[in-house]
Amino acid sequence: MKKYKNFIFIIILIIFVVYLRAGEERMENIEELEIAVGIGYSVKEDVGGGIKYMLPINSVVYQENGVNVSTVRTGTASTIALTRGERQRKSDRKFFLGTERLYIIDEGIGRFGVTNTIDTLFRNPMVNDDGFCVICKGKSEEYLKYKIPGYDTPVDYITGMIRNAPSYNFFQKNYRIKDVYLMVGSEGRSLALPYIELNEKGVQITGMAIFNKDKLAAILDIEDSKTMNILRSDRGKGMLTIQGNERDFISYYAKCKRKVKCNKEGDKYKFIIDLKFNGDVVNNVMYKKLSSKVEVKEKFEKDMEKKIEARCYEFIDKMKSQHKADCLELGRIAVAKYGRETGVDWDDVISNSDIKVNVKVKVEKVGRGEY
Amino acid sequence: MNDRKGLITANELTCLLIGILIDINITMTPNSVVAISKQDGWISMALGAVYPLYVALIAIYVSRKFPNDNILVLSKRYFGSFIGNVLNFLFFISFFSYFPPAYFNATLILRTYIIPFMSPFKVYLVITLIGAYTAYKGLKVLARIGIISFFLLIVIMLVSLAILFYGSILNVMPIFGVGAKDIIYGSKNTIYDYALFEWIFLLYPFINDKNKIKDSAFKAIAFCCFVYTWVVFIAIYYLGIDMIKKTIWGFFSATESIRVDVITSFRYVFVFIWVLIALKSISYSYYICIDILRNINKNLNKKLNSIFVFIIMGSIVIFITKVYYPNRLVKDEIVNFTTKASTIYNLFFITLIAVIIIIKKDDKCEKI
Amino acid sequence: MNKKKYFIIIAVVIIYTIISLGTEKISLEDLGIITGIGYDMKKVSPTEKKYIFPFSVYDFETSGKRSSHISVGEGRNVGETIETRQKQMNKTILQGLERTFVIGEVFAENGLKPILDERARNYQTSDMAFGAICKGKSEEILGMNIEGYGSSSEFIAGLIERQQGYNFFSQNYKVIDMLVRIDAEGRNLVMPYIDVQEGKIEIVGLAIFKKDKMIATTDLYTAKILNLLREDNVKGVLSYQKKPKEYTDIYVTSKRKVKCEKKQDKYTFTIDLKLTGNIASNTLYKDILTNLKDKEEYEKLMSKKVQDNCNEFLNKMKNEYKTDCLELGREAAAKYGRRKGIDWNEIVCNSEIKVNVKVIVNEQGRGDFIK
Repeated sequence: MKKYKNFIFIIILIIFVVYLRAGEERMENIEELEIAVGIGYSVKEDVGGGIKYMLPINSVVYQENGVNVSTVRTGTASTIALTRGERQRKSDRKFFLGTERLYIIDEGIGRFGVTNTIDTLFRNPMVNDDGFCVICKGKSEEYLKYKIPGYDTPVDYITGMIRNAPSYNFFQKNYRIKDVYLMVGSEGRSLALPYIELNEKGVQITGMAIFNKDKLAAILDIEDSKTMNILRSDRGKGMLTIQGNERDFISYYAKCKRKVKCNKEGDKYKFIIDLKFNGDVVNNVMYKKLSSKVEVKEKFEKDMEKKIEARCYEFIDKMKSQHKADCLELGRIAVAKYGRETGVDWDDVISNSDIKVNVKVKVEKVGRGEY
Repeated sequence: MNDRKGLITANELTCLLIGILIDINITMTPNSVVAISKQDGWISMALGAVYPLYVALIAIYVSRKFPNDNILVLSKRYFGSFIGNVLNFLFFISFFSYFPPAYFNATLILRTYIIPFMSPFKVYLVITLIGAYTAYKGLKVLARIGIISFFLLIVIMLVSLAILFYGSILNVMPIFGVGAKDIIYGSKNTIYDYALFEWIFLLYPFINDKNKIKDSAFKAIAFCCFVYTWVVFIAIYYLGIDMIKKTIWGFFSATESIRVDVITSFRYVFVFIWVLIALKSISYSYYICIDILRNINKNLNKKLNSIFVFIIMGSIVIFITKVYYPNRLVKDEIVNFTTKASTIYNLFFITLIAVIIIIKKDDKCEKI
Repeated sequence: MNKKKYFIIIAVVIIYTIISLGTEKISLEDLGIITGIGYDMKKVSPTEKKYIFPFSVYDFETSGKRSSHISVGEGRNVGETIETRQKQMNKTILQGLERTFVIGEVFAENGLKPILDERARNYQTSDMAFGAICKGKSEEILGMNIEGYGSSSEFIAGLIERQQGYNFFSQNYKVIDMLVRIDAEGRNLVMPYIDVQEGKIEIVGLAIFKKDKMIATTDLYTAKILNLLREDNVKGVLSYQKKPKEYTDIYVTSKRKVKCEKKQDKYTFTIDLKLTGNIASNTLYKDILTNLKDKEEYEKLMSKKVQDNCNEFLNKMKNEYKTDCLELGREAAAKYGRRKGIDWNEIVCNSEIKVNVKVIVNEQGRGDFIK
């Protein structure tokens, strides 16, 4: 009996393993799978006043011969989870989730409210939390179907755009879905995502979309987006220009640091935002002798400070009166000082608070010479 | 389970104690503490270490008096065979009450994140076989597994340092903003995590150097307190209390934020490590339950040495888990009750023994 | 030793030659490998029917690219179709590798007996091919050119196979399933119903058969309920929706048990459906994550909704279809005896059918965003 102990043990092990695997779906080869790379979210008005969710999903079939086939399949149904079945009935391959890189939410869903979308993604452990999230003009399906030469799918191109955006315009690196959860779900925070458009030139980032809780509040053009990014984030990089008239301008590429102080007097909140810019002049046909005379440099710095301050105040006024949302995430600072879950509506409070901006500009280098 | 030669070293004792305190439930600790203490949850978590500290102090006292007798032997000696066994059996029940939740937690995390297609029963079966077989091999083996788990925990802690890059200190502020009252009140949610330190009462007879018991106990508590506090802190730091409330496994969600370009997803690395830690806890639970039963009645000793006992116990546990803990919400309600009951009983039991020893100091203490 | 070797070699050669005598060998280029078979019928006159059987045959080109063409055989009976087809073809037909067979509507309405007989006799055909009923003519669907596929049959086979796991479809749509379900006592056949929408082939519902004649087709919504009542261990999404934005979806696996009772001549069937799964999306209940009452309320409401849907379907089945499409007769026959000449369709439609649905939430994913 002892001789056979190992043998019996192996037999039992095999039976056990077979039992565990029995009845389960067979494993697929990667060539048989449709691997999701980008998911779009849209809404459609339904007959009878209802709403249908449309989820176009861009997936790639990776083939042995290296030619990768990219398809877009759309499922349309009354809830997001039901779109899965609707999409599958047009597909002949098994669907694979977990490596998708892009979530495109279109304006329609933005106005409708993104809670449903986020909840479905949040619950699903198979979802890739590192995927980028953007808001698009029009319908998300167009972007996923758009063919860009040299790319298997437009998703690669768009994610590349978002990934490289932080070099300019003070864009941030936190536009991934895991950041979206935090921005929508935390007290004192608000959601802001890049806004892309599809026109004759192709796909471009044309601004930022800001949200009031879970609904789209406004779409900012690129200039306002820059200002908002400067006021909103702790760090950023971008180009600032003073344009005198047609021929006179000076461009300044700077890194920006932000510090916020918060005070409360009675029921009114006061915020002081200190912005420090540190950068180089990259192009100058306006300030003569900038690189040689200290006074000229200081004048430029002062002028730049004034210009930035003016822009900031202009934007803050718009924010308070038009958008009525705390898109600068000032609530977060207040909460850290004055306590959480006190029932305060931070959008309301910030719109009625006193916000002061102090800007300091410093020019480090002016290049090799002046023309 | 031949432990006669198997004396354990002080380090092994420390790792065993750490092992019984820290199991896969640590991924859920931020969620339980943040409910009341909000952003100061990590302070509550640190304060909760008072409970195992008390247990340790009592254990050190008792072990100094009777370094070779575990608490079950002592209870029989002081209270007679019958009452002693009753007390011991209740002690067994209080340990056993942590067994099904451990099964359930481990299975749920595995099924949610990696193997959603497996039915719970199949996962229970696999856990049982591995856990039971490991426990069957004896204390020395469990100690070695404890050392491995200890290092795995260190790996997790070191990697989680990376989360510091992604979160914000604002989330943890205002510090002490919740108020001392709520912070202390919130500590009561930490009981589940610091529970079962009473195992030290069964372990100290096996240590090879009786003087090191104190060191081992304190080292274990210090390490666990640090780990737990860090876990809660880092979860709040990255997620913020609003998000923690939306998740089921807060620490797990926090670790998903770590991005290293080479590794596509840290999740699978982590789950692999958590699986090993969960299996360790299960095998410890098996060992303890059977060990207590063995001590209750020496006659059962011979029969209990065979692997069939493990199979029977495994079947009972699987049965109970399947029937009485069908889902997370029911399990939470049951666990709330059993944790309180079990903690109160354990504290009562060990204090009773200590008091009795003090009272009867002059009587039978020469019996070695 | 050497003699033995030589002897074996010689023996092998001789045996091989003998065996291959009299067998014909055909080179690959002369083979027509069938990838899909279609079955169509045209009513030339009230008494005369014409059978049209298109074969989808692979073309092997020297460039290595796969494509296919349709070879049609027409005739008044099956044998004639084979002959007429061979007249057009320049190759010998190789069966056994076909992936799909598509049956046109008209043919299905007239009865599948001719196919069954042919399939059962033909030892060369593949029993594992997937089948579907199509709207219109199978010739069109089989002849469709789909980019990236050698023939549309490949696509259709994948389409049908991959429905498993969505909309509660099973995989029992192969030839062998068809054979079993048409003639066995108490059993009933349903097949996927496909159509071409916007140039793409999709599954649009199920086709219900009475014996071997198709009597009705359903849309996808009804198909889901039919599958749920009919199959065991199938998966799909169920949704309870109050408003466009407020709904809770659950992805379930089903367990189906049927009990049959007979009182005098009246039969009662009880179908117990246990649906366990995890919540895919929730924006309806604020506290479903931690509150037992919320979870139980959802389970109750969801169960009731499914139960109502099932009862609605049962009415339709009894009054409109008048067929036992749930294969309840099978359970009754197993309990009360077979081969008694009972018409199960009739009995089941006159019996009482009760459905008990229980929805159980097992897991909830990673968390709940709506809190």
